[in-house]
Amino acid sequence: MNPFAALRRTPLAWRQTSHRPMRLLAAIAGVSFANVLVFFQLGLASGLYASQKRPLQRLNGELVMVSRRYTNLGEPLNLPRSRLMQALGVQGVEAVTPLYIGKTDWLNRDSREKKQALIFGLAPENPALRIPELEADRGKLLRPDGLFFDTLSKEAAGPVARIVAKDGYYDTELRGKRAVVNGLFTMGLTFAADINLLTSASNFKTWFPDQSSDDIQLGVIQLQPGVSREQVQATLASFLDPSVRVLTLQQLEAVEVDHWRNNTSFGLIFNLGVLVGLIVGAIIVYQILYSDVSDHLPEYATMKAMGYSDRFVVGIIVQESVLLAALAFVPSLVLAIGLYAVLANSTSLLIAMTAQRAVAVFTLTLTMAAGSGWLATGKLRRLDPADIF
Amino acid sequence: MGPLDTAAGSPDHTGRELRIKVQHLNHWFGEGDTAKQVLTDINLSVHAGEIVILTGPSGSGKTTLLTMLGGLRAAQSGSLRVLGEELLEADNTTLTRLRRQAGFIFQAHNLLPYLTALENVRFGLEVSPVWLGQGRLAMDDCAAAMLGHVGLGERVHYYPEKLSGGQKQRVAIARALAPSPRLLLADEPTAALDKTSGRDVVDLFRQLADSHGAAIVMVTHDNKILDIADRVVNLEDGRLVASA
Repeated sequence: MNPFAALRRTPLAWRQTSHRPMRLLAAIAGVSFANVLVFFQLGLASGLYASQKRPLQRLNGELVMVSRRYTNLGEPLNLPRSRLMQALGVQGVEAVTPLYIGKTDWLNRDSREKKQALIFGLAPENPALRIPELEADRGKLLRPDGLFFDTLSKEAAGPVARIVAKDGYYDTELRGKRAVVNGLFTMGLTFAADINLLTSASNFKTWFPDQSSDDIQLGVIQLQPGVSREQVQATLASFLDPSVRVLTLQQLEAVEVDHWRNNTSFGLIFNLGVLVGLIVGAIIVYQILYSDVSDHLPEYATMKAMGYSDRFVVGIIVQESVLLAALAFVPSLVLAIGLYAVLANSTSLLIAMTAQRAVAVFTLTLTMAAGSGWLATGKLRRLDPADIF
Repeated sequence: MGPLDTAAGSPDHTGRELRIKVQHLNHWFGEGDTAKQVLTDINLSVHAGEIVILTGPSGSGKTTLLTMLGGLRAAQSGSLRVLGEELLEADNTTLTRLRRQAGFIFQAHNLLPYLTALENVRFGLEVSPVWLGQGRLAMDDCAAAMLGHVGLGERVHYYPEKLSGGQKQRVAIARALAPSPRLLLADEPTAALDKTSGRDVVDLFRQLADSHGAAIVMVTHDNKILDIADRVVNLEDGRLVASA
């Protein structure tokens, strides 16, 4: 048979779907809504995960050294500074610098409310984080009780940024000791805390006197230009104590995202959200096609009586479901891109549409629609043309 | 031979091909103790070019017999040969193959509401790979010509909802006739038609039988068209009781 014969057939699925335009529009709106739900969940999830990487993306080096048991930035674990210094002996390593990370309460001066702050201690001569605001005014960090305050910190921290911008400083206390916010920077929050703070390594030790002078929380390793990080990483792994490990920045980001995805409920919650979206879409498609089958049972019986096979008749409904999914995808993609822009603006989360996600949602929605289309044909498959006449 | 043995197993005295041969056909609805016999010891032969009218009171099994001849049900007992296929306990594939070669006109027109008259007729052609191979233009020409024959030449692009009951029935008739089937089965085809168009339709049946050698079996109560039949057989309570 001519391979193009199928094209000569009357496109029944399309004709039936488009015969009632208002019904088609309603169907497309319903399935689009379900798709937008799925896009929303996936976007929010990836935005939240991506936002967890923000401090890591500021790391001023190519490799990092962390404790073997390190899981995420919000649970800093000590490692000895001497381990980091060992890295200096490896060929290709230019410099190393420590990053001190601590979690502490922050007191809102006005409301007396306590909030969690993540405080990073930097060596002023070679800061482990790239902070442009610091480059401009490095001397401020050297002040014995000086702090930089992340302008993206939660409102509940108090009107710190406004006061600093106006008066140049904001007095408060940290762990029972005086502290003065005398600089601002903009980095962005993670799930770990409501406030981000920066200070010098020596100030950090004042606020965390329980730590020994040799304790650091993360070591940044800076390589000479053109040196392979994988090679240095392998060399370091070959002789370093197993209590520490060396990761590339990419690996460190993956560890971070993996933690939030798998060790917390976030992954489950978002997956459930996606599932709910798909189920809503599946129910809508099923409803539409099931009523289509029920309304036109005599016509389908006639098709069977004319000699059309069960597969052909079931195929019409499955084609309709795929058609609905495909038609609904375009508006849902446009809506989702708009929704992402709104979310990104209002939450400072890193949410953007990716081709990969668009393809994934398209595949999911097609599969979902075809599945519920097939389910809707149950009556059709059992339909005996003789019973209608 | 008694009247019940109408043409069953008789020599092919007309020299024409035997299209239908029913022997000792019994049929039941339901199963086990509740099974109700609807056809009893039916024997019937129909040759190419022959028009047979099936009459009988309602509930006598006419429609059941007709649906069995059209491959809508498999035979349970006896023998049912249609267009060379044995339908005794036939599987779905065999039944579907037979349905493609037979034209069927039902009491209800069952046109697809989302296709025009022309497309409905064309859809009847598309079931045949041969017609499909000839392309859409050829199918459209054939469909339009057939709609012209049933008097709907002016309405080929109308959707069913814009047609009267009689016009819809004529589209359904055109759909069944367009592929020039070797076997045509019709259940009260003229019930929804006025006298003139009813006569036109049976004339078309006669033409199909004469020029294409189609075998035609028709269930009807319409006395005005009995004259078209080569034979009239009468079903009563599931038995063939008389023939003319």
